[in-house]
Amino acid sequence: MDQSSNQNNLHEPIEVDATFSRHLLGHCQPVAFRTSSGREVAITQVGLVHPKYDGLRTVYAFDVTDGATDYRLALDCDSLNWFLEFEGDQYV
Amino acid sequence: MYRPPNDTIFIDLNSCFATIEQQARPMLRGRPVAITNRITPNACIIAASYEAKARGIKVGMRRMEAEALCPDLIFAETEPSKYIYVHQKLRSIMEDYSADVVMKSIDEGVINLAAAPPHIRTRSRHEIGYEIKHRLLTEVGDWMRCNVGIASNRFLAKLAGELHKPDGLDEITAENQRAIFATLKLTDLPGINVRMERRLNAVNIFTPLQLLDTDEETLIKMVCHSIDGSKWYKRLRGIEVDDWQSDIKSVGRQYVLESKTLTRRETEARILHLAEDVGYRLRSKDLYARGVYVWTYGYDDIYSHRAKLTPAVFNSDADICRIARQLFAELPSPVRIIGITLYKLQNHPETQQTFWQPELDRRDRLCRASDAINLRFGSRTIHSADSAGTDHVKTKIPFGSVRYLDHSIT
Repeated sequence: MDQSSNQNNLHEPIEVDATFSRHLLGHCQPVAFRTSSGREVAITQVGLVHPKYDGLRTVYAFDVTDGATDYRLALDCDSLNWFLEFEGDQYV
Repeated sequence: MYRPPNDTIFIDLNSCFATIEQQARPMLRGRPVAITNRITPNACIIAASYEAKARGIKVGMRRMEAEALCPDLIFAETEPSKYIYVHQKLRSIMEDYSADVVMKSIDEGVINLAAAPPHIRTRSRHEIGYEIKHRLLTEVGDWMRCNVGIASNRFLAKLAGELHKPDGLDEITAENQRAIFATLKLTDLPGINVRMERRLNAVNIFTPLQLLDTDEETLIKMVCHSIDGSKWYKRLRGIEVDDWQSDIKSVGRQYVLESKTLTRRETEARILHLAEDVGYRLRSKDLYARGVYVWTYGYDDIYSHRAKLTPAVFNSDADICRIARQLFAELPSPVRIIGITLYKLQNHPETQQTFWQPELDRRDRLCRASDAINLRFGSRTIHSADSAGTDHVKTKIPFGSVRYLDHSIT
């Protein structure tokens, strides 16, 4: 296995179950997501939530894991659509 | 000599980029991680996690060398937006304690509690330090760690912050300073490198304690040969002499070419991309330049450079790109690294009107309009046709300077 943490930029529309609370890191915590192919992933941990700017457009990046793989979910603040951006290698 | 109270708190994120990557991607936690600007076989490591450092990985190592030393080393590519976000969060936390906060780099900063409101100034320094650590965990992420150093000036606070890495909290006071200095080498002191150590050794100063005991006159006349000796004398005694900020003297960028097979035209497009980028940074600070410096590193490690100084100031992309193109035409090929720097900066253009003023005004308006569009719709929405196809030449992490760490460059 290539030890480099290769990530492929997917930008795949997904459906996300999320909890919003001002007490949560980034005030929003994705709980699970479903891809267009029907695959369901339960999120066990949210790593970092940070904004990315492209002009005045803001996309919130959620780095999450299901315990085996790291994922990058993105919430477009203009359209309120969620995307799966990266799916990391399985390291274990 | 009067020693001020311990009002300076120095905060330093531990192995900043690697820790942020481990924070973002929990699967990397507890594992040796190296951060590079680009995942290539010859990539240079710019940060390593503590697990990697324990296995002998050092910043500056090449990927192949590091993999030989630590076969299970995981490489991650830099993602500046993450680091800038953590930098901004850290700054925001620090600013809750005092109006006088200075970020010294992307991962470290200084709080001056002398400028804090009374209800904070009267609190225990240790309590504030532990609170900042706790806030970093709860507001950024549970893998984030920082070192906290407390002292009466920045020099001693930074030294205190480096005593117990990672996740330490130390205070240097007049009472414990000699005991702490007795455990250190000269090069453990911030600002003392091997060259400075040799100069100190030449006047029989071999330890931090001997340096502390040296009188001011010897430091001025025998060691530094300048007023810097007096600054060292005060610095070592907890007097603040480093609370100054330098003006912007130059604006520059460099880029390691992604391929050996780029044509001259393709390399020039990347130079022009960098020229547009530094032009935007220059204008974002309302500055003008008079000089352009273009340099390259060849595959034979030969450094080549050309510079041009003009009588009139400029800050438009058209002017910067025109001069950059002229200078690049005089440089040899093929090249491995390219760079451009604008220098002789000033705040305002000369007020004297020139014959070409209408044309200059038109260029100025055009630049401002394209900057406004790029700010609204995203960087490089508008750029010159000559730098087309170079959108992958992304801004990497600005080491040292924190002047451009706003969202506009992410």
